[in-house]
Amino acid sequence: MILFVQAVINGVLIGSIYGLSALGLTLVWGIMDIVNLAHGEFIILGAFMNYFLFTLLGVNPLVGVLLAIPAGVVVGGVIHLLFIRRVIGRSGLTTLLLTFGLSVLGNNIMLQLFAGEPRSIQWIRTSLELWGFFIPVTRLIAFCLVLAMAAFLFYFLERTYPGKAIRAIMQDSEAAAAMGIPTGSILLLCFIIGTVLAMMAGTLVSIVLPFQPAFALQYTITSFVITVVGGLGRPAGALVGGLLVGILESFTGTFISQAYTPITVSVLLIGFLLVRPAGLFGYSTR
Amino acid sequence: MNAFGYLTRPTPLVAMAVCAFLALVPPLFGQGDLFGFCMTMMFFIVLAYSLNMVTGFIGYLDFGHVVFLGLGAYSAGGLLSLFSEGPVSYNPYVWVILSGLIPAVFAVLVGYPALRIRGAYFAIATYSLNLAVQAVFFNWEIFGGSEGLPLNRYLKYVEGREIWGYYIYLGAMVAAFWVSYFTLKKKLGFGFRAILNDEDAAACMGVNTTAYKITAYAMGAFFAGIIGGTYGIFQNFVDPDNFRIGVSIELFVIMMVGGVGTALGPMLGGIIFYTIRDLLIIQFSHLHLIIFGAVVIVIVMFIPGGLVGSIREFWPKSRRYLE
Repeated sequence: MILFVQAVINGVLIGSIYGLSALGLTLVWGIMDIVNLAHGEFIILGAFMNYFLFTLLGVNPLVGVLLAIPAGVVVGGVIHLLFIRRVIGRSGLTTLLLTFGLSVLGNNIMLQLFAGEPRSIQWIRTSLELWGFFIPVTRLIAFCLVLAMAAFLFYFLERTYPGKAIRAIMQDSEAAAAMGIPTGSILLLCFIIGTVLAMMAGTLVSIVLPFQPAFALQYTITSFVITVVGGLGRPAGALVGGLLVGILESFTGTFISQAYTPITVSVLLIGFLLVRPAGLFGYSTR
Repeated sequence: MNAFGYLTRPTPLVAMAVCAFLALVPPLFGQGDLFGFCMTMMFFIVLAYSLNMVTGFIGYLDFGHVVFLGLGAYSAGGLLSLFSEGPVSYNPYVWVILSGLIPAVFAVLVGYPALRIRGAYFAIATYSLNLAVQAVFFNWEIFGGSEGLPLNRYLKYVEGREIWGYYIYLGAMVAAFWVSYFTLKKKLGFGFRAILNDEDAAACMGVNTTAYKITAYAMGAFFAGIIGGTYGIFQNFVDPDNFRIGVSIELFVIMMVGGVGTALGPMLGGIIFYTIRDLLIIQFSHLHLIIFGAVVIVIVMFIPGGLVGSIREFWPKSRRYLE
């Protein structure tokens, strides 16, 4: 029983970070109809950014999390203007292959620059003990940051003009353009938000888990699975799906074997695709 | 047109000339550098053909295509180890037949549910299928688990065994070319093209899309499995590394350089790609994957038809000859 609750705690804490990274993927995919296969590379890039800020300059990792915002704006903006902008609306084969190329390129550049060994930030290494359960402080901090960021994002999407414009484009991009919404700049904003969320998730990853360029693929797949589970373009679905996948991974690791997590996650993905392709929060008609 | 009539058409003529050259390499040049170069090149060309049968013919992005390569390797090498006590007296390459059939059957079983999903969903589902199958073999102790399965115990060194591997690759390449070539000309190919262009419309017009898609997937799996089995026995070693995703990247580059969905594309793409890759690896040993990524981006954005597609576009008359 103690093990069970501890597995749930671990799963929720890690799953919240997965949820944040999936938020970025689900927005870009739902609104721009582009499945960004380089999403995991953005996550690892964020992790490396925070790592080097901490080890070389001694910047507090929490400040690094905030610095992911300007970094994400620059990276996302440049990649959108150079590549993504030119393939919006093209066939799925084109956009997938383009982001696949970006992923291969980005991953191997990082591999060359930073080498392939696993790294992690050695920061606060204590755990809180609560009724016999252990909660690592860094993971708790990451969890709270994810909740704060998600709350901010929901406020942005629901209450501000650009957020409403994003949701309008998701419903019907042509009608939105006819209503005078500057679709081009909103799509740029959307990709930037996706990149910022990914890099921010990456900075959190660097605090709580070891990482290396080769993990990027795994993060892309995890974010993808969460998007499918939560429902395409549904921010709330991404968070809940993230927790679900986090708990599933934690349970597999605790009760079966860490080596089997790719299998259980694949089963979850294929199960959802076959039984409920719209996901938990999606509209079942789509 | 009879079978020899097809041989006089330009596309098969070019392809068969390449194959004839490759067939003459071992007797003329022996088993030196050129032998190894040609062998690895054929390895990639046949795999690119098999990927082309899925991604090029029906438009389903198969990012986990290496799963069939690995399954083929384990079908031949793994079963060889299970059913033999010591060194085998027969030619071990007979197991290659199974290494084609088992992945094809697996493709039918997996393809039936998996091919119902499309686009990015299918791409990621195949990605994770590959990871899942790799994880199974990492933990499957009968087949050596993560350490892999050395086959030297079962394979005594016999003079000329490399030659067998070489000619099986060549045979698979010839077969892959003709299967692709005829498929595109016959009813099967028209069904594939209908699915590629608009799957819903094809289904409405009475094309049995499920059967066609599974056929394409199983064809791809068969050729990838044959190569996997030959590779495993040729290398004397089978391990979960046969499932590594990096090979998929090179296959996509070859297919796209040559021309997606064409009969000649994978062969031309493979020759160009592999020659350049060899030079790149000698010159900058660690940068070649960065360059591959850039090549994919450039091709997608500027020359989506690849080599064959661009020739057809700039010289429309060539459409009659270039298939």
